[in-house]
Amino acid sequence: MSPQEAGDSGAELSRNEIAFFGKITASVTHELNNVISIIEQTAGLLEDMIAGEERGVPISIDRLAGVSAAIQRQTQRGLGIIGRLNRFAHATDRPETVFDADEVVGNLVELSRRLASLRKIGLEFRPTATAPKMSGNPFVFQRAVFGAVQTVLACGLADHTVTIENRAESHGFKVSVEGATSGELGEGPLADLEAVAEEAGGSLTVESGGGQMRLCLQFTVLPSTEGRSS
Amino acid sequence: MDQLRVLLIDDEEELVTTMVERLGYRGITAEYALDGYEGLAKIRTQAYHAIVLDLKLPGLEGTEVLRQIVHQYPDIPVLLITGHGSPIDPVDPKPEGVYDYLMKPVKIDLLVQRIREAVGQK
Repeated sequence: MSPQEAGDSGAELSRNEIAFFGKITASVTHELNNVISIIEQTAGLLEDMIAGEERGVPISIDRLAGVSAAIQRQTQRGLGIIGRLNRFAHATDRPETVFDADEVVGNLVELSRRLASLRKIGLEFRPTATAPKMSGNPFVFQRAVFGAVQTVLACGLADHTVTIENRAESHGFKVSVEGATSGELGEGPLADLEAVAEEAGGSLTVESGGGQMRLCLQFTVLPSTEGRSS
Repeated sequence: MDQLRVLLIDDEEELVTTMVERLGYRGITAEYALDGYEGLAKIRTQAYHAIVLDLKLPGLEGTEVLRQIVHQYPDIPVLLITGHGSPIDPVDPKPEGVYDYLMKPVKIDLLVQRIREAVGQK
């Protein structure tokens, strides 16, 4: 199969999908770099304290405990970041699968948190209570949800919160992204997002006015009698 | 010269508080700001010999903070601390007004050396 044929069959990631993957990994690795930097500085501080004691400056046990707690805190933070990135990366394993939409969106929201905080915007995720199962491509689904979050963030107001809410409905499943915005979006970003939503097997609706924007992605879900596994 | 006074501008609070303490061990009085607005406010009211600035900042972008510092306080040397993916041009890695830039994670003794060089104190 030639590269052209592979691309035509949909077996390859598109340029936009690679850009999405790149945006997530760039943000996450930047945050991981910060975690490593903190551990590096904290370990260095310990060396400074030891060197100080050799010059006769006693080490405070409380301070030592604080240094140890900081290293443990950042180690846990780093492990959390790696786990989220790993779950995200595995979304490309199979183009068609059944997945828990709450887990997938929750993970994506956590991965997006730093991008939002650079705009001084908080993210709040509200999962359903029913662990809705979706059938489809989880990577493309995430790209659609991420696109909606990025679209609201792009015109979002600093010091506000964008809410991402999953809602199970009788014959479908909805992800809504809502936040305070400073202006109207152009047609371009919404047309792009609409195309991504369709690719993910869903549709997009936009409600905007009064300084608020609400983007809704509507999908069909597999009927499931399973409860939440954890 | 008086004891060196340095301002660190970075949104990772645990990172900058630790660096402030470590710089203190090396005879440098350091303060920190967690975003660009706070940093610029401190520069307006306090005297610093050098600024250590991360380009990835919440709210006011680091590049804009840098622009304002260079424009309003051209005599204060700026050292950039960047992570991978920061907007540094690989062809011209030192924007105007920047004395030097260091990649995270930064070795503290290298940072101290660069700060002293920047303010002309070897």
